Amino acid sequence: MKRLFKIALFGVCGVLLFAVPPILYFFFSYYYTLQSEVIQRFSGRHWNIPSRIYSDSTLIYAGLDLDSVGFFQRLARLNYHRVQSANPPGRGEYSYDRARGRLVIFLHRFPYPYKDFPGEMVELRLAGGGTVAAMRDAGSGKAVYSMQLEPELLSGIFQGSWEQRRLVRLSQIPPAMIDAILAAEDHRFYAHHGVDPVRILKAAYVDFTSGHLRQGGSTLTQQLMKNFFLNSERTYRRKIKEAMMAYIAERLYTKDEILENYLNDIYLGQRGQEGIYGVWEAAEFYFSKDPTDLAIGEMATIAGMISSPNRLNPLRHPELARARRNEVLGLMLQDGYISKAAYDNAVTEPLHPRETFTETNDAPYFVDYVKHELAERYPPGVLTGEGLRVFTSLDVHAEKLAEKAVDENLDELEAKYPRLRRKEEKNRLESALVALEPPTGKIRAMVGGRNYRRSQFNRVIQSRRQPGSVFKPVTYLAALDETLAGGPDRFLPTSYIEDEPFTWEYGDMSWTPRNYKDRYFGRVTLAFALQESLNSATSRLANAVGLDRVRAMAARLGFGDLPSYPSIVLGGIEVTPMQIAHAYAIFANEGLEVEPYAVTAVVDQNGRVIQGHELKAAQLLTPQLAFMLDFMLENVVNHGTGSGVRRRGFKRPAAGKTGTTNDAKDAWFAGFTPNLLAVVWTGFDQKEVLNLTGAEASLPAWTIFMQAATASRPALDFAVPPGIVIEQVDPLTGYKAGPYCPVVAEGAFPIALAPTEICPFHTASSKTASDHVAEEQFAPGEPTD
Amino acid sequence: MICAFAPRPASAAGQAIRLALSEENLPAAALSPSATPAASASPSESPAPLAIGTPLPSASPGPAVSSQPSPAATPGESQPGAAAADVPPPADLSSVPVSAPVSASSLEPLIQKTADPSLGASLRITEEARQQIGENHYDEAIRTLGRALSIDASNPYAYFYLGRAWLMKKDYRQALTFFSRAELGLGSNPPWLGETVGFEGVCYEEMNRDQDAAMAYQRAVQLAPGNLMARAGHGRLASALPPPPVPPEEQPTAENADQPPPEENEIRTVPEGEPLETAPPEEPAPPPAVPVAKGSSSN
Repeated sequence: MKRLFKIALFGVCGVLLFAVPPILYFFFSYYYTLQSEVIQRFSGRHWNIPSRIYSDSTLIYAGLDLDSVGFFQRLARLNYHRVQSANPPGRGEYSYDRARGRLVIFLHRFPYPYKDFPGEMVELRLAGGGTVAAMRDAGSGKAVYSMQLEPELLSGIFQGSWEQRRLVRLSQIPPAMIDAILAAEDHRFYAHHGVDPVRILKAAYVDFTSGHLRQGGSTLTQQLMKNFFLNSERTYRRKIKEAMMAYIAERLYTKDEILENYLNDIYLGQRGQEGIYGVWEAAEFYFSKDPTDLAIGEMATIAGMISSPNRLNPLRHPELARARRNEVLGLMLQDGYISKAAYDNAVTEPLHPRETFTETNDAPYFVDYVKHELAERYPPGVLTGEGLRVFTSLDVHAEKLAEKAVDENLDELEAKYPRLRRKEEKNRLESALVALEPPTGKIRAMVGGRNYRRSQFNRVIQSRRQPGSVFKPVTYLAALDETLAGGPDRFLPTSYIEDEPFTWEYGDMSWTPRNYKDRYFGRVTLAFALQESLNSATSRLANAVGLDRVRAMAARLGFGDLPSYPSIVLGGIEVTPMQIAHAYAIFANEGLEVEPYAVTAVVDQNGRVIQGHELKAAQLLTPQLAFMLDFMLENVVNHGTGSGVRRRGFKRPAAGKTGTTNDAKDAWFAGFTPNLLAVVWTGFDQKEVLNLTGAEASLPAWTIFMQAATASRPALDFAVPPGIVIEQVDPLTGYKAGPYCPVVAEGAFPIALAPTEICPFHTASSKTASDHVAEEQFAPGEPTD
Repeated sequence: MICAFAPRPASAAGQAIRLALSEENLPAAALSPSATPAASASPSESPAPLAIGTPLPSASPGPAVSSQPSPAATPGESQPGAAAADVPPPADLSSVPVSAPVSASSLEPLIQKTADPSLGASLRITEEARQQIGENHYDEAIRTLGRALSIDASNPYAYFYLGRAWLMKKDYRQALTFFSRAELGLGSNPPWLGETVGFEGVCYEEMNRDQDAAMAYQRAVQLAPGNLMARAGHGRLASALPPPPVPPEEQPTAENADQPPPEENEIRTVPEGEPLETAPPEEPAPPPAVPVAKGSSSN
């Protein structure tokens, strides 16, 4: 017996001697592996902070019609909530008394690129129809003259999932918020060492009695370790690893460091694609407040959400959230964090359900364009991980109007012309629209196609198509420029050109342009040729001006070095809608080129502006030259191929040009007022025949868009520059119009070259049958382009 | 964000002169002896800090602007200085009082006169930019002025202050571009136009284009005889002006005689200064100058 005992003892000692060291070795190896993981995570960058892309802000001022800028839709998208009280109690709320014309809005706090806006309450007095009559600071009562609605979030730039968080120091979080979280999640946080045996035993008891894993005994430190390193599987193996890591973290780091990481890390819900992480982001999203401004009840609500953020979302499930909040408040009272009075007060705080806008990627083609631009300057890791805030020029309201205009127009075309319908999605009729503000170069709207989900091909910047007649103004500019520069040839809007079949010989080749429907007008003025978009007359003009001059003008307008073929004068090249918009913006801006741009500023996480935009310009055309062309393009809209704009009710001063390619595959309309320009292209990606003119296929979308998009802008006319005079002329003779001229047109002329003599051909007795014929000939007809 | 801004308390000549002339990168010679009385005037008290929510006063007295009649604006030229050669030199200026630069005082009187709300809002933002320029915040002013133009593209004062901001940033080409653009909208406002052209002179002078600068200053003096900067520049660079043009009747006629008659197939060309068409004959002739392009197959 004694021998047996000795053998057993030796056996055990032997096992211990040989087994324990390897076990200890493996244990400590594992321990140190985990420790190095923890150290690496804590000492490195803890989170990838996605970059955010914002729209432009919206300026509200006295005299503005709020409906014209889609004000209330903007408020909804920005998560402003209407309240019943006369003065909204918190940021992100507004009250509106329509009968009394009183709107009070408590603006969000917003860190603009160059300054932080603290968020203030503004009272607007509205006149009939929603026009702002006066504004005042509701706090001080003093008058204010403008108010800026913050930019709208368009999208994020992230890798994998969009985890949106704003990093804060522990000192920035109010103690009551911390108390609420500790009460809800780990009230013995400052007492344990990463693992709380009491809590584990309690959880184990619950799990044992229920028969499966129901309750976690995790401390905050364990939760943090799980989020940092582990997955959500409920296994004992994962729990052991989590506990070891928590213990390691507590040995290496202070409680405050762990708590700060936790407060920045926790997941607190979802807004569309965007995950809400950290208490700061949650406070802003759910209550439009910084954590420092939260009431006790609101803090308890956020703290209560940690265990189940989506089920306890106070905006969607206020009843459940209220119950959980009160539970947390009870725990806070029990742990001595709040007094009974504070508890009684907090449990009565109401929680209202609210509509939340979850759509974020409002302008997908524009966002792609911005991302592409950013990718040229910043490495991917910076964009997806360093929390840049990118401010852009987009006007979300204008973008929505543009999308609607494109959709409506395409639907209408397919309904009207069944031959344009296609069964396969990818073959459907497409359209693109880009809108710019010529004086500033801001890209205000960009619709790159019919359906972004189906096709991400951005036709505004990627689709190179023939511009057709929208390119014609280049030839007319070259001609007028020759005149204004005092060249040997003089071309004026009233100069004549033959509109007859014509062959252009060049080298050993020839080119014979033909008019639309082979309809020729004979002798016409330049103004009429452009107004009716006559191919033959324009080609003759280009021939007379010289192809090199036309090419030089095209290069000046940003089309590059075009080949020396005559067909370029009728748009026999390939360009993008953005290039056309760029060139037309120069016409609209009195010859001043302001580069179109999308990114106004890029701000890093510390609020430092790392990329800005400066308003710069170059005088590419003289104002006189630009105006003479604009005047002719106004005639296109008022009387010529673009007169559908007027028939559809667009009354503002506007200039534009239709464009249809000879093969009838592309239809364009490019037009502008002095403060907004839009270019619309319509066609098939597969370059199938469309067989519609620009006036038929693209002009309607342009008009629908411009009517709504210019409603908030002043109705400016094109300013006549010095040295230019507008004269009434007889387009049949080129003389100054007399009282008996059968047709009278207006033209813009250099003062020195303006016709001064009254037409001698039309007198009281001279009106003949041929005049009637001429009158008909020069009367605006159906679009010929 | 809300915007309400308090105008500077002083719009007096002293401050105006300070804003216009004491900025470091204006030509040092701008303060010529003739300019010293006004230029040495001490700046007014320092500006009040901007306060959000502070209303503008109902009326802000503008500076004394010379009411001397000004010649009409010369025809628009992309290079305004070039047009100045056509303007006769200004008469004796000693009797013309020096006036404060109009651009140095508040735009509030203009804002009050404006009925169009968009232009009013645009002008208010321009006024904000004017103050930013006064505080040497040129980049901020350029951004602010972009917003002003976004609201109302027809606001010439925004272009003027863009020119000022770029001038202070020593980008004279940009400054000239914006001053030229401002000119288009200020044609009916000689004091402002004169000041704009005066600043164009400053740009040219900084670019060592003395002749252009001299012509711009001369034109500025024509438009706003009380403009100190223009007067100083004009006095300083008078010698750089080109000789006055020879009257047409004194020019040799041989050149004209050498000119070939217009070709038949040429698109109607008219010598500069002549009417578009010659006087109509007693019997109305067929419509003039039927053009046929080269290589045309038409008949």
